[in-house]
Amino acid sequence: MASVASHQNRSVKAGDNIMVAGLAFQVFTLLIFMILCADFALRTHKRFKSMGEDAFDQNPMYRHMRSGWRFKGFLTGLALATICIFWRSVYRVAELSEGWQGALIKRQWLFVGFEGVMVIVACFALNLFNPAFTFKEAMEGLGGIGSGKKMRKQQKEKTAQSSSNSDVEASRQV
Amino acid sequence: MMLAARANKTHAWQLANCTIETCPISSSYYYYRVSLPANATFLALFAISLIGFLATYALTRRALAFHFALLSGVILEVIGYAGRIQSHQNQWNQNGFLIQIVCLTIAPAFMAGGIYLSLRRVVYAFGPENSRISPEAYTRIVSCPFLFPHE
Repeated sequence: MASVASHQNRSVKAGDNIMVAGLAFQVFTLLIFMILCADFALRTHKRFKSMGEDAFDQNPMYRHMRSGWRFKGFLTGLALATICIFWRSVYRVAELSEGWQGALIKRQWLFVGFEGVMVIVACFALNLFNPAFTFKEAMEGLGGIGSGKKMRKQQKEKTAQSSSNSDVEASRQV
Repeated sequence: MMLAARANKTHAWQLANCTIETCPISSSYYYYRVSLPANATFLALFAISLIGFLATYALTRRALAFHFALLSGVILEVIGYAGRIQSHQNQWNQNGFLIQIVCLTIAPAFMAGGIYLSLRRVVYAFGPENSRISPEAYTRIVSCPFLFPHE
């Protein structure tokens, strides 16, 4: 590691650069994520202004969910957690890009405030507004690893059911 | 100052015998006395968060990938702050320093992964017609493909 190397009078450049590059990548992906969020929010807002409630999914389950406090809390919590982790990552890039003798790395309370506090706030926000609570019904058979497969299976069952129903109806009409 | 310069030139095994009384703090891995109360508080808070996520998953059995990401992150935070407490006990100890720098640097990346996975659900809730790209595409774009192999 970079600081260990500096202790043993070895080159610190390589380890330093790897750490800063990793943190910069975190900042970069968070930035892309925030741009995607902003784009979706803007488009949704525009459609809502021109179409009203019809702009949203009219599935009763989602209508009920959107009007509840859990969902609003989740959106707030997710935004808060994103900003906290982004802030923290920017701070860490600034801290470590100065090297092991920089001005920021010498200040413990900066680390406590911008690393510890930011991350614990993000975690508690997600603890309180855990998507497992918010998206209760929407998650049955949806979401998580392997959700695509599950969804296709559900779709297949549905179409199989509806086709057999129409068969019954057709035979009744006859 | 001269002491510090000399200490920096000595080998790691000599610094390993340093204590707060015998060596200047700047010859350790930190430029300050690592705070025990602050790091013990964070250790406790992250442990509470860890229990919260474990309990939520145990009770609901929902959002497996989200919980996997958040649990990984919070466990790394707990280990990281344990490393910082080890550093408080001996600021010249390489293990404590390495544990905290590695764990605390990568842990939030896992939490960010959990956050990325959630956007898709928000898009479904508002209606995918509002979105430029499909809900599943959000997950594919921002999450590490090797960490979360989505269908």
